[in-house]
Amino acid sequence: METLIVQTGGRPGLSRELVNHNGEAIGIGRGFGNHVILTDPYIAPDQASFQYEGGVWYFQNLDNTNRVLLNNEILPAQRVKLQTGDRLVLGRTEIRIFSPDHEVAPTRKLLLSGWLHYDSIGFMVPFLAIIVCNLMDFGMDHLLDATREVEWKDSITNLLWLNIILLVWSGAWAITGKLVRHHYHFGQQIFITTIGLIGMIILFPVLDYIEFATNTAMLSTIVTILVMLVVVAWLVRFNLYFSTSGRHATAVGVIVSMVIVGGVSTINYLSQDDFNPNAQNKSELYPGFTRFGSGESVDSYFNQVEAMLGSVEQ
Amino acid sequence: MNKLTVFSRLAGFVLICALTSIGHAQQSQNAQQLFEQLRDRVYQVRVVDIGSGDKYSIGSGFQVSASGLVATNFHVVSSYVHDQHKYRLELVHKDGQTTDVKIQAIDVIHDLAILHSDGLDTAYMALGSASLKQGDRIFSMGNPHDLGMTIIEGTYNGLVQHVRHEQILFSGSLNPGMSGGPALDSRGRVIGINVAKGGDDISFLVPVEKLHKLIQRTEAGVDAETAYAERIRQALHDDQDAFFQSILSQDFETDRLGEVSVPVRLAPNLRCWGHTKDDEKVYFVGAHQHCQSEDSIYVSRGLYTGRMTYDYEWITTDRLNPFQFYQAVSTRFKHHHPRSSKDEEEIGNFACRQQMVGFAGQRWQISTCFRRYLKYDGLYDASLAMVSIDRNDEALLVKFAASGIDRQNAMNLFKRVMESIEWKL
Repeated sequence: METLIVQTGGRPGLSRELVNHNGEAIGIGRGFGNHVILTDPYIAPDQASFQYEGGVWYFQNLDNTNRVLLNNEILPAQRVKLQTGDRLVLGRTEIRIFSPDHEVAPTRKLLLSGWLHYDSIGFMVPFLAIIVCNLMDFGMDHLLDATREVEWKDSITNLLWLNIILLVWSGAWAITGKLVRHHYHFGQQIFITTIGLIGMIILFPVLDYIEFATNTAMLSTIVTILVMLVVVAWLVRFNLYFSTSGRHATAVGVIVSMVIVGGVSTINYLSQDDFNPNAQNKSELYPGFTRFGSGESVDSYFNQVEAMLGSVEQ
Repeated sequence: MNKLTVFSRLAGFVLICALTSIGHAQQSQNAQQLFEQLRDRVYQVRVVDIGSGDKYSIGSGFQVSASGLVATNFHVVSSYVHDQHKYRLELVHKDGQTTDVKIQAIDVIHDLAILHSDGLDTAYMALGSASLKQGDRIFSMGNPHDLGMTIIEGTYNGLVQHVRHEQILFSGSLNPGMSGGPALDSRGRVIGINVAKGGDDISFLVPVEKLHKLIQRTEAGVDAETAYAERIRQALHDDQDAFFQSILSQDFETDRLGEVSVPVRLAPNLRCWGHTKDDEKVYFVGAHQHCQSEDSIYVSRGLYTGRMTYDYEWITTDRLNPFQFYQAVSTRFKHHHPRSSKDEEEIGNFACRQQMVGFAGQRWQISTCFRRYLKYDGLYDASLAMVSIDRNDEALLVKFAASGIDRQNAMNLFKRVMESIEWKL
């Protein structure tokens, strides 16, 4: 195949630099006499050339100031045969070589049939999401937890803080998007983050309830960690997705989430004191109708206490 | 109550002297005469840190026999009792001369110790008996803050109410360092031993009868071969057993609190209080009844034991929904803070069992916790916290805590309490 495509860089939404050549040798380097001019101070004026012989493209390195990598391995002294998809690193620049028949990945589907990606999301959707989030936060607090007269000043201050954090977080991602994709999705970042927050507002009381209903602190600790993993993964994954259109947003989200949640849980676990002078009980209480079964008998309960004491002795 | 030991920081010491034949001081005397007569028989007791060679803590003591027995408080010498390799004991005489002493007997429950030395004079103090009347003038001797031997005057005000272990209420001002010193009637006979202070002019004395008993035991040679830790363990064990058996052997008297009847007045030596928490801005009302023993047994600097406390709270609302109501109850559903020890060398971690239990026609969330005394086998701090969860606008919260209790007594007590709670519909 006579045609060789040389690509440098490449971000979604930006046109890539392409060199398309038909069988003639291609010079590559920092010098202006080359076919491909790379402005990288770690590359020689005449660094290398691509040569076409007998239906095959070869790569010939011409300068050994810095090593050249081919598919992550150091290039041998003699010229090497190239294959489509090969990856070369010259200085600090990465270039990739393709033939025109190189297979491309299938077209990716836009999230939620695409509407979330367009500017048509407008102002109303994220605004409504914020309103819903605020109302839910206040409503859950009020309906489940409030045991005294509402302190409006405190409630409003808390909500303002929540919204400021939301806006700063979304804003940071939007700026990242502007830098990486030359386009920001502020509304989308707010919308996605707000959905994550609403998830937390709903899930935390559910977690408390699980602790109460199952009577096992261990289970609720595990479920709490899992929920936090999902929420953080969600926030990172979608914010990253809108900012970069990166290919592995889900994997990155899950890994970042595991590092953060795993790290915090581990630090919490390790920083617990070995000795605690106080007796701890699970204090979460919900009304009787949320609880199933009729309860142990007093005797059977004290048998359990006795058994527990047996194990304390050792 | 602050124990009256003073630690090594303060210096200086004076001995009390005066020789009077025993039983001779029949007439009423004033403080000056008593001091003149008896100062020779009162010593400063020092726990000396062997490593540094200087005193680690001080108290007072007085001679109670011609053979050289000296009475003081257990808490004055407890550091030595618990760590005989690190400390030694000495008495300081009036002239600053010191004599090494050994421990002959201890009574951890009443905070008494008998020391013995061969190198003392034969003059000793006569022990009196409790024939005093409230308002009688009494005196106390000791060396406060290592400032020198002093005598103070105060009033005998009978026995302290609502304590587990008898103490005399002395309306005078004891201070740290006077622990273990004698309290005297106006004829110079010992009526008690300085032990603690509770506030301005509120001080406590161990009645002399407790000392009598300990001297008798010492002379009979009881326990002489037993290690201190075992003597302490046995004493704590017997003491809690007597106290809780007296509670458990009676029929519980019950009284109404809200819609329930709960066991009350479990022991005469507990002091009870009540209060109702109602604030217009808070949408629930809590009515409290709580009782506690106000004295404790000093075992070491890291362990005070022998307390018992219980607390009932009836919580109601007419403004909260069931979720809000139980949120309010949650904030109250906690164990009592145990005050016996924060020292991990003395005590283990709490182990707890929490479960939903059904009785008295209700379901309850119950948490029972125990922690073990590491040095005294078979003794625990036990704590119960339970709350009814079936009603949407009323709940009973019950908390019990006892320190230095054995397993069986704790379980029986908690069970009996549950059995005597009744819901009045």
